[in-house]
Amino acid sequence: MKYLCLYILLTCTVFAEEWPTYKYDNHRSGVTSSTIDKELNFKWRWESPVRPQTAWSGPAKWDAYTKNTGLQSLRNFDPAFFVTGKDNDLYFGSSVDNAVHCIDKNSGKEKWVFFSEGQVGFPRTLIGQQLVFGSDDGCVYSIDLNGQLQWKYEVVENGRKIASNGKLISMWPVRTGILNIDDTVYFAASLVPWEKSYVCALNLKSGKQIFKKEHGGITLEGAILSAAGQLIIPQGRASALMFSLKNGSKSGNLGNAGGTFILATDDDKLITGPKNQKGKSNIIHMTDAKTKTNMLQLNGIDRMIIDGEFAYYHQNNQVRCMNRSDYASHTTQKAQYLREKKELSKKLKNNKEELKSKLVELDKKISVSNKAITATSIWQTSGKVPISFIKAGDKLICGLDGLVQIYDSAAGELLKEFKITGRAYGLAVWNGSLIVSSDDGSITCFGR
Amino acid sequence: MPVKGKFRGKFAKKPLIERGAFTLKGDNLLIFNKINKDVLPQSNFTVEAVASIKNSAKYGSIISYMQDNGSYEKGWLLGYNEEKFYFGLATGKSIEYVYSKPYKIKKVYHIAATYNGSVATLYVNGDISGTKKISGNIQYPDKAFFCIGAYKDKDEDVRKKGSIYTANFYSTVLSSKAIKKNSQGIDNLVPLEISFRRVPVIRFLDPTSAQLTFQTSKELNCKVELKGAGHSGTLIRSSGKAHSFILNQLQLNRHYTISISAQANGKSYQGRSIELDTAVNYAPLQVDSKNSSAVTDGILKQSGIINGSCVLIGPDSQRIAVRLAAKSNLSVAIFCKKLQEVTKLRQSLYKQGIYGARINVYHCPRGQQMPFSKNLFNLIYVGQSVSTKEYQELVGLTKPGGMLIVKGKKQLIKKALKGQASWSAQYGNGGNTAYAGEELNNMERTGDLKLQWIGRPGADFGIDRNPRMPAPLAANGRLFHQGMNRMIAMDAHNGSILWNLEIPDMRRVNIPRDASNWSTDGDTVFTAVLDQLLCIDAATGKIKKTLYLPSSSRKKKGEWAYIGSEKDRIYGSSVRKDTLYKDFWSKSKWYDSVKAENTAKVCSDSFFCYSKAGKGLWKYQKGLIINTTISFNKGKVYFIETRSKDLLAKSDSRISEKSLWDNQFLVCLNGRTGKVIWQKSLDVVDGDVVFYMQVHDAGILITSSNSTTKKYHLQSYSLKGSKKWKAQHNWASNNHAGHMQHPVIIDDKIFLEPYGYNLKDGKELYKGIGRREGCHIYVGIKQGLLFRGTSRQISIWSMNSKKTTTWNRLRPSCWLSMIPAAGMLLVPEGGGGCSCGGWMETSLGFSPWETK
Repeated sequence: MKYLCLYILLTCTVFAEEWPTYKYDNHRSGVTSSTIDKELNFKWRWESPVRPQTAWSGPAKWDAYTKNTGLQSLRNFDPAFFVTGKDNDLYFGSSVDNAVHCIDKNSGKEKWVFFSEGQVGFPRTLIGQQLVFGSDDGCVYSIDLNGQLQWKYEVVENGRKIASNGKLISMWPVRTGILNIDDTVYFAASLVPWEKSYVCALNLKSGKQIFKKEHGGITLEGAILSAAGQLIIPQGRASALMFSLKNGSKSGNLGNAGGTFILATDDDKLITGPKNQKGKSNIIHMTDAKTKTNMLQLNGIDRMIIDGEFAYYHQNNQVRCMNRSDYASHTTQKAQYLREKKELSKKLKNNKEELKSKLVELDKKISVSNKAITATSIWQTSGKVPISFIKAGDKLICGLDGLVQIYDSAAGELLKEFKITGRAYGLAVWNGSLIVSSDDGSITCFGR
Repeated sequence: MPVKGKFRGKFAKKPLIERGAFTLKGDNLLIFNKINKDVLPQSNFTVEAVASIKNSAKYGSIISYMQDNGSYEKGWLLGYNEEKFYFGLATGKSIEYVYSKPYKIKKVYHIAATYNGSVATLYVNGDISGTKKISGNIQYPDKAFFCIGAYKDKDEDVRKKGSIYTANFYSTVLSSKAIKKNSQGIDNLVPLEISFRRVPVIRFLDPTSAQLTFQTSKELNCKVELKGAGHSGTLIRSSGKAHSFILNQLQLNRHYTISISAQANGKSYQGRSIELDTAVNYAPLQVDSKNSSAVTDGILKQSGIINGSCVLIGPDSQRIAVRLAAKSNLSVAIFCKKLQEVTKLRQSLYKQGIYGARINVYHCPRGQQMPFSKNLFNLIYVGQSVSTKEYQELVGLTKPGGMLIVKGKKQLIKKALKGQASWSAQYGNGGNTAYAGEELNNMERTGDLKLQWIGRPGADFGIDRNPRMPAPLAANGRLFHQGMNRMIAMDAHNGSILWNLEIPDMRRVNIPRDASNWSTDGDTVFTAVLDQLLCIDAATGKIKKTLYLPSSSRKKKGEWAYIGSEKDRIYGSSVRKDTLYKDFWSKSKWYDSVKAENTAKVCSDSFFCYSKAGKGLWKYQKGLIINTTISFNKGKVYFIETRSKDLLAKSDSRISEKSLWDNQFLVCLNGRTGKVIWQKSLDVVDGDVVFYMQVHDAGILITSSNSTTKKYHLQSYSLKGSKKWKAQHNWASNNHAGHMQHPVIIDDKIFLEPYGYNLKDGKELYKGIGRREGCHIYVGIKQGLLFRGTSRQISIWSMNSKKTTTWNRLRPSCWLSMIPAAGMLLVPEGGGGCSCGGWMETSLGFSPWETK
């Protein structure tokens, strides 16, 4: 009954008609109340002359020393041309031509293009009538919805430019995307840990600097997000860092969080990838953003999305949905029992009888916990490993290699699938359309 | 005589039969459920197969009937491990093994094993490869599985990857003669091998195509089959001796398999299967331009610069840029003072579909200093007059060896930077000094060097950090780097990728026990691959010439080992086939242990010289030359060889025998004639862990690292071979290369962790040079040492201040992957594969000339 109620709630929600930023919101949740059209068909495909020029190369093929294969990339924040959009306009930034493009979503035809001096790895963030984005040229730009420059902010004035993959980039490229909170835009400019990095805040309307905080020894890259009243910025192959919204000073680090996959939940939990490639299988961590304490770890998973109580992920060749709150509480309870068991065994090692009876009691509790954990699974269905996930209304959409699959998020039923070119790293939904960004540089639109 | 009775086997899944072989991909096996201990003989039997191994395994099986769970070991097995075939059988409490010599991946072998109740014998290709006295009946488990293509017992199921052509079990002991006869039949089962006159090489042409070329020894009708994304078996054909195949419609970031096969005179030939990874396709987008431009043609003709980074300033830049992009591989940057013009140019080039990928436009406002690193661009063309100040600024931006063309002024070729050096060989030069003379503008702290370029290749290019690969090279402003059977040329000053080649047979590892497989004179990159030397144009990556091992009885069984070049000469050496270290998988292939399997020295059986025009000049052949000692300086070649007869008779060239250290001679040859100038009997401390020789202007330094004394022993000689002085000190550690360090000779000083010595008299000058952490070695700059230091990061130790400074989160490979050359510190990616830690995993160039 609980799930039916939720379903009704979702379907009654008023549809959002925009996809304003990378993974939809400041939590990088990938969850929108907007839904896709029932009659979804291929509409158009935009193709780049060359593949996206990623800031970093792919991961090593293996760790031969430890015989660890299938290493993950921990810095693939720009594998495709991610899009944002509103109404009939679709915007994306390009790492090939250093520009932001506006495409007519109906026809796939380009409306305008605005060039920066460097690669644009993240999509523009759409705030009212403004589009704000960062570039490898070390600047943040605000343009209007007609592609006209409103303001430009250079982090290090006339800062040194260096060569990178056939282009000239700033020593302080903006590779975090943009976050807008209460008309203040936040971002970081950073490249290598032995040079300075900057965490900045600007006035949205004027582009004037609110703060520019200098840091050393860090590399800020990957989508900036916010949780528990703080900024959170990934570092790739190092722990993600937390910064004050007030002045950009460092407020902590997330010890087990790495890579560029981080999302925040409404209750300020952070779902993160591992900070290094050491593990032989994928791992997702859940951390309390307020206390910075690790809550739980899920093995065999490298992506997840959270919508309220529900977590959607892929594990053991299955796409799954579970009640993540129940899962967290039961696993925490079980861990507590296991700790008690260990302590008891030490404490009562000379009193075998009492130990035995108490252990039996604890084993029963553990058994109950195990059953409860199993019961947190809502559905599971066979499926390949998705590269990306979003949830649009009552649909779970998975991006794969050459394919996009659409599931009924309540029941797990595969409703539809579409062939695409390349690997689908970016998904976005608004106005009933599904937009897929692939690593071959294509953007494909499905709609009515 | 086979086992009595009819038995029908069952495949785990539908078998894949390719070229007459049961092809296993780790997911199939053939199991005979009705064969059990009651029908198997307890003694006197033969097990035989014709098979190839695609992936080695710790406990691989071809045919087995065994149960092994800890102390319970029963049955027998004919199988393979990570290096060798083996025959294991249990007659007592545990299994005893007979091992073969190392096998080669993907090569088809006839393997047979017999047990006659007292001796177990293992045959490979009809020859006895190992025997062991074992007595008693086979102890069979109560239950086991008679399996082909997997090791399966009740606990384990390890399936083979490779091919099995035939498998036989006989309840009798076949004679050696019969086994020899059976082995001779494999030619009928397996296609003949294509003999490559020039090894296969792949070159990416543009983002979606590549060219595979090779030459065959005789005329063949060759066929290439391409499988992978978008290709389910595309066939391309070629006839003759020189073969070229264009592989089209390659998708990005995908893996392809290329299989080469051929037919001639009714016979089938099989070449090899090549894995192609398009993630390392860095070829630029090709630009079409029908417009002619006399200016562009003039620029290209005048400069001869066709790849790297180019700047255009002034009128008509767009037309010149498009034409330049079409006629070369240059990345073109147009610098514009007026913002309006910038926008217009970008829009126009974007409409032509070439903006960003090949041509970029940058706004450089009037009156503002251009914010680019110095020494950055290969070519700058200014189509208008400029002020003296602007001209000087442009000179500053031009890279050494690069060209500045300004209208109204004489073209300028930028001079070399003061104190810039070339790193032409493994340890910098022919003398192996690990210091090429680079001064790095007298900088001695990491903070004094600024990042000038960053980018590809990354970790996906390499083998791994662990197996101690050949060092990068740098000369004439280019940086050369090796990866997983591939090489790349980059511009040393801006990181532009000039060209890259996939060479499937290229890999060589464990360089502390061998010579590197390449060297350069700046114009050519000499690369040894199998029995050949590819002479590759340093500017374009084109193979200008292929040289071969000199004719000799060993020609067909040899491989090109050492390679060096001096003036108009190329020095080379030969080793016996399948000797060179190539394995990199697992901790044991870190080559850090002091076990013989890691420390065996690769030794050459001949040393020879070609002219650069390809004419054989001379050949020296006497003893076995330890490759790590081969050095040359000022027209003389030096090495240490053993003349122990037992070693000369060996069939392979990896030497770990004690007699390597007997009957040794230090030899000096005339590099021009090959004549012995002098030779001296030598008795130095055994360098069983590592053994190096270096030659400098004042003498010869021999360094032994000995596992018994756990010390380094330095032994100095004059250039005429007379003893000068000795010194010794303890290893820093017995792991992470603490026992394998290569000395660095900087002017009149020798550095060998943790000491510095006076080159003339061996007196101690420094105690406690910058502390190494992790498994790199030290290399020299004029004023200090570069190494893997504090927190295992790339560091500089200053001779003056005796202090160490470090770059945060930068790691090199486990041997030598960063080189000071071209007036820069060049750090092509070498640390990839290290799956823990926050390493940057990118290629970088640091400039000591930038102050901002």
